[in-house]
Amino acid sequence: MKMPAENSYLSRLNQDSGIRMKRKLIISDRLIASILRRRLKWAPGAVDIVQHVHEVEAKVNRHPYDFIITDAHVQGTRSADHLQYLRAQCPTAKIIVLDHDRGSLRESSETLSLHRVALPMTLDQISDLINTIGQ
Amino acid sequence: MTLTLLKVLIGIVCVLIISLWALMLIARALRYRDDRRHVEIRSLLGELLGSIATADVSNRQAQVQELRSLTSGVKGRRYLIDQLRLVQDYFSLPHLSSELLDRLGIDSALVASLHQKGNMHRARAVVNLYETDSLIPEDMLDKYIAHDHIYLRRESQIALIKQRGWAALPHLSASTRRMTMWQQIRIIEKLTTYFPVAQKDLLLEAWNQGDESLRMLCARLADSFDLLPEMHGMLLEGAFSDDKRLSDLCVTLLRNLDGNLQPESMPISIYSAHPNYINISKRLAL
Repeated sequence: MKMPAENSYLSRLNQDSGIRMKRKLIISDRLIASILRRRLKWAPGAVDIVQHVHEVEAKVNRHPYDFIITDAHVQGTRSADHLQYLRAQCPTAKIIVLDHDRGSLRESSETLSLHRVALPMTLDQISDLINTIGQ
Repeated sequence: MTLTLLKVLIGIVCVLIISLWALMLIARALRYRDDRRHVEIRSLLGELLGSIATADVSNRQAQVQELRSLTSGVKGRRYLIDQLRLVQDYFSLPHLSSELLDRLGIDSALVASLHQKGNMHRARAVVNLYETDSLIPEDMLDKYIAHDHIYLRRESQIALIKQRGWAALPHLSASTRRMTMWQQIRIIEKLTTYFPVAQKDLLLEAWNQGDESLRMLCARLADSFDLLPEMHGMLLEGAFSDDKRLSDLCVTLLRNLDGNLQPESMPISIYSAHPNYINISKRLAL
């Protein structure tokens, strides 16, 4: 199967540098995702952005992600199902949930070892939090 | 004669089909153009908001100008406001977005749209203004909170609450229409989110306005902000109200006081002349 351009770019970069670059997935509205991507200064090829649950399945089954930032509510599925699916498919990935619901997902984020970000937050806070998680 | 008529009919049908196809093509082209514009707006806005660390957008003048030209029309402006509202749901950017709105000329355009002819347009302008944390002229709000148009009235009430907080409560009695339970819940949510410190004197002032649905709102607010033990006199007055819904609500809330509800702390005897005195005393289990 022919690899997409961004994958070949990433694998070439990995081979050249000898360091494995981490793959990230952002599951959110495209505007929010692009703000996060710019804010976090991630290399363009290393970040995938998806919006709908079907795209999530396709991406997650294809690539081993190290880092996933997701909305608590994704079009086409229930929050709990979506988070369980992500954890099942990516058992080692760090998953950050952007949560508007003021804590309704607290329990499932604990059982599935997810990091929950209660919104709204300032961009600086959110970048610091994401950059320092797991360090 | 019949043949000519048939030819005319076929001609009309052909013209109709062609014009329908033409309309479809035009609609598709317009939609394609709108989609392209939306992508450009999103990309510019993402770039602008993602790369700015402080509230200063002055050094991004070129991007702001481009965004302004892209959103000069009504549709473009509406889309930009929707996107800004979406961003505000995620990130707290009050100064940044108000400065942006100002530079993009959105604020003044929205305030101008408050004077539009259609009530629905005015209501949408009110929603967009309070959702983007912009100030709405107070005289306008005072006029709209008692408006006949249901959507305009409700949204103006919410805008008033968001703008003035607890001080807006007594003013809500200006509306002679009954406030729905859903509207009361929306008001409580706004106060909980933006003005979490309860102001008892303003709550009492609103109660004393005498409007039944406003009194229901006050009772629910007392419950949400844990003021029931201090406000039980007010609730007792509500329990003996002629309004069945207010009476039921106050009785339920008083019963929820559990251990705090003591016969000696309830000056219920002052209502002994009330026709429902025995019934309500029984329901209060006093």
